[in-house]
Amino acid sequence: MAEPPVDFTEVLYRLTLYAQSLSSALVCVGLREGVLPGGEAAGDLAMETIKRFLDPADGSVAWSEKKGPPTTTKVVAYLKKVLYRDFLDLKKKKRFRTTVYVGTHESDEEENQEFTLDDVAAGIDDAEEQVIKREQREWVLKQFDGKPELRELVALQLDPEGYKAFSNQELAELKSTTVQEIEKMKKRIKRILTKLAASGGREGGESV
Amino acid sequence: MSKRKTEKLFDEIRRLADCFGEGEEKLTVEELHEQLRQSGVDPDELRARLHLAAKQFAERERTADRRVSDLLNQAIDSTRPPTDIPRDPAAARKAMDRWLGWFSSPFRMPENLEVCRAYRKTGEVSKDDLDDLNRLEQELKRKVKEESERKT
Repeated sequence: MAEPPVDFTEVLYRLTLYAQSLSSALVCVGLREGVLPGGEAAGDLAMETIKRFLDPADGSVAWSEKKGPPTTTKVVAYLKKVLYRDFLDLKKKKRFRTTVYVGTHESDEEENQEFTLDDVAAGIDDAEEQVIKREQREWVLKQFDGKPELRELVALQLDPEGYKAFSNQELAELKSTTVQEIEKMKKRIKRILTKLAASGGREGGESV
Repeated sequence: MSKRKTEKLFDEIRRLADCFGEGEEKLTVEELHEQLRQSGVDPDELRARLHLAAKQFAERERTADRRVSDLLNQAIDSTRPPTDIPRDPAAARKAMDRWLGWFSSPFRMPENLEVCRAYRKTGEVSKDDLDDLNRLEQELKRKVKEESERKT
C-alpha cells in the first residue's frame, strides 16, 4: 500500500518547535547572544531547513532511497538532525555573552566580553566549569522568580552535578502530579526561555 | 581546543532540547498550531511562506522542462491555504480535516476551568500570575462591555 503524502505543514510546525527547544536549551547552558537574532528566529530556521530539502537545485539535504518511502514522521526525524547541525553551525559563528561571570567584574570591557560556542566549551577547566555551571543555574532559576512551581521544575532539570534528563513521567512522580500537568508547565517554561533567547537575555540578563 | 568539551556542551544542548520537547510528538497539527501561536509565532504566515517557496521551486522546474518531484508536489498540496483544496484525494481529505479542526478549536473549553478558578481564590497564586489574571479579567470585562454597548 502506498504511503500517505508527507504533510509539510506538520513538518514545519514540528521543526519550528524543535528550533525553539534548542534556543531554550542554549539559554539553560548559560549563553545569550551578543547580538539580536534577527532573521534567525525558530520559524526561519525551520523554513530554511525544509527549503533546502525541497529545492531541487540544493543537493545538500536530500532524501536517501535507503530510508524507504518518505513519511511525515521519517521526514521530521531526518530534518530535525539537519536542523540541529545547522543550528549549532550558525551558533558557532555567532558571538555570545555568557549569562554569568565568575569572580568580580574588574571593568566594563570584561563585562562585555563575548565568546563563541567553541570558546565557551574550551576555555574552562573542570573545576571552573563546575563553578560556572552553578552560577548559570542560578541565573536561569532567577528568571523564574515569582513562578515557584516552574522554578522547582527547572531546578530539577538543571542539577548542578550535571544536567538531568528526567522524563515527564519521572517528573510527575517526583512532584506527585500528572504527566499532563508537567507538559503544561514545560510549555510555560519553554515559552519564557524562548522569549529570553529571542531578546538576547535582556529581560533578565544581568550578570550574577 | 578540547573537542571532547565542545561535544559535551553540544550534547547537553541536545538533551535539554529533547527534554523541553518531550510530549510534543503526540500533539496533533491543530495543537501544534496553537502552541506556536501561544509562543508568539504566526503559524499561518509560516505555512504560507513555505507554500510560496515550494510553488516557486516547482515553477522553476517546469520552466526548465524538468519533472516536479513527488515531495515538492506534496509540499505544495499540504501547505495550501485551508480553503484551497489539493488535487490529491488523500491530501484533500487531510486538508478538510485540518480546516474543520481549526474551525472548531477556538471553542474548546479548558479541561480544568473550575480548578483554575478555585486555585486563584486560595490566594496561593504568585504575584506575576495574579497580575496576569487580573489583566485578563479587566480585558474580558472591557470586551463584554463593548460588545453589549454595540448591540444596544
